[in-house]
Amino acid sequence: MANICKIIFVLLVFASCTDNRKVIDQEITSIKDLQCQAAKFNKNRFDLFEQIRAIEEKTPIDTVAVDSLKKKAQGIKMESLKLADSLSQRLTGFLKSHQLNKEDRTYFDEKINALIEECKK
Amino acid sequence: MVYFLLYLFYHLMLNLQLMKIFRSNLSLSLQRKFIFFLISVLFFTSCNKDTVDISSKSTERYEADHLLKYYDQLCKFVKTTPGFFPPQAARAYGYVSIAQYEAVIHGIENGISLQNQLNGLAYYTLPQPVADKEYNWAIASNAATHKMIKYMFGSKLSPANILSVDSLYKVTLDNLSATADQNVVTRSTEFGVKIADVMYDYSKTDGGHESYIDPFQLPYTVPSDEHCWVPTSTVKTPLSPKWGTNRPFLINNIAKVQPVMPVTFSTDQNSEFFREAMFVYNTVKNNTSEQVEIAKYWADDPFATCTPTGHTFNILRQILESERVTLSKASVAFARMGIAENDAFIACWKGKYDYVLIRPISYIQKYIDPNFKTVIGTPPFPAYTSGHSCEMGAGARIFTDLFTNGNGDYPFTDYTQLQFGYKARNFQNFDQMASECANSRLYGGIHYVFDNSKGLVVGKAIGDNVNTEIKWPIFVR
Repeated sequence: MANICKIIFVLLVFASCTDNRKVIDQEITSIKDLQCQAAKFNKNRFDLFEQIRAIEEKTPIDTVAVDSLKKKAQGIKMESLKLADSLSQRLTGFLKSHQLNKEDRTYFDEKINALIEECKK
Repeated sequence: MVYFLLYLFYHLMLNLQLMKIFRSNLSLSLQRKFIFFLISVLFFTSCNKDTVDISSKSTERYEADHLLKYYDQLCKFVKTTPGFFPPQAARAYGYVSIAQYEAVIHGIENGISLQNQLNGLAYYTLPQPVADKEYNWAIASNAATHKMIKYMFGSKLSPANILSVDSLYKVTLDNLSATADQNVVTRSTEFGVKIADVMYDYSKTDGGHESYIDPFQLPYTVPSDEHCWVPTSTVKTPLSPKWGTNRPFLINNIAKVQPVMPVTFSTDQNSEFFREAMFVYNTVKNNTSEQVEIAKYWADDPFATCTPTGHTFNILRQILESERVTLSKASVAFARMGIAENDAFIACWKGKYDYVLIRPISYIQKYIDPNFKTVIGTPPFPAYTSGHSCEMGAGARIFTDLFTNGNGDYPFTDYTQLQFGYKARNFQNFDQMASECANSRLYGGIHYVFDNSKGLVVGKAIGDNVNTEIKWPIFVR
């Protein structure tokens, strides 16, 4: 009887892990577009700063070009912030509503980092 | 007192020897009078106790949800409000943090007000709760935090942000007051607002009041010595040159932590300074992709993130959320971090303008390679010491004391930069996190190694001061 209980317990633990991983997979898939967009905005932001820096290093500085790029950067910033809000809320909500154990957390971390790596390609 | 008397009474009545003496030496009427006296004392003291021990729930019994949401908003406001550079942001976080703490301290067991513990606060009179009245500490916290945030951003807070913070205030108040007595709601709200009013008055005299209006604190003339900072972009004057004279929350955070310059400036190719610059140059040239990622991850540029302090607070918020802490624990944690971050930036900025040290990019382009480029943009202020290292050094000591037994071991993942398209980063220890943050400035090419190492020393000393000089309630482990 005790052995049967142990087996049921192990199966329940296994089932709950599988369920959590399924939920994590679903969450990662559903935020894929948002996450990739965030990575793209980030790259665009740094690219723009590079361009601004390149102009600023030359003398005389082309202030019109710098202002124009800064205006463009401001636009990206606002879009990026809006997106960051949505992503942040999604993530906070997800982690709050699903009590992930250590293994599930590691699984989540691996999956999300793999997604970001994929977005960069 | 009641328990002591009960204890005394119990022992008196149970101790046979004493009872014998009691019975044999006193007449019956005296015995009765003595017992009547003892019961009267007990009755009186227990009644007296009821009027002092008010029916307010302990802060420990409230959830921290609203407070965590306010800190989330604080980050957004820093990102979207003009003039909030790293020092200004740290100050805003600092004052909001002490106001929210003071609003709930009377509901925390063994809690001691900051009134006589923070530099200069004794000159201001913080309101005290009325002894025999009930308070709802979550409502007081809601009122104080809401008001203080609005004070710290002042007229620069955008209409959208005002709507956002007012809406959070109203929703929180509605939820908390649904089952509460209206008198308690009013009293608690007024108490929280008064705390914010006094803290705002206190903030006005620290030297950073409304500094977001003129963050560059002009006029300022940069010294023209060879070792001194020169502009690294179109920004011709450095940021907040007088910030180091601001009043810190703890005097010792400035007086006892200032480091001397460890390397003497020189352009000689055999000098230590030249070698330090060469090290930055070679590091940037040979950065791995991981190091570039680390440089950008911790950059926390003020254009799109809530600055280094905001990043540290986001990590704290994330840990508090995952630990599902109560209002009291969250409140103490935010207060400690706020005090440490505010003072870390003052101490750091004092060093920056005491030495006004040239940035690596300016030195390297002039004496080593005119085509040298950094990985990230060099911010517009002197090099020594590194602001990131100071603030994260201080933060690491606060994290360590809050969540570990002193060794700093605490495996966690920082998810806070996912929103900007960065990977989540795993850490096993808070010092490891602080070291990575400090090193990121070297990988970025914007700091010498000694800027970072000394910055960490300064920050950690400040964190330790905050942990030990202030009497904090002991329960967050």
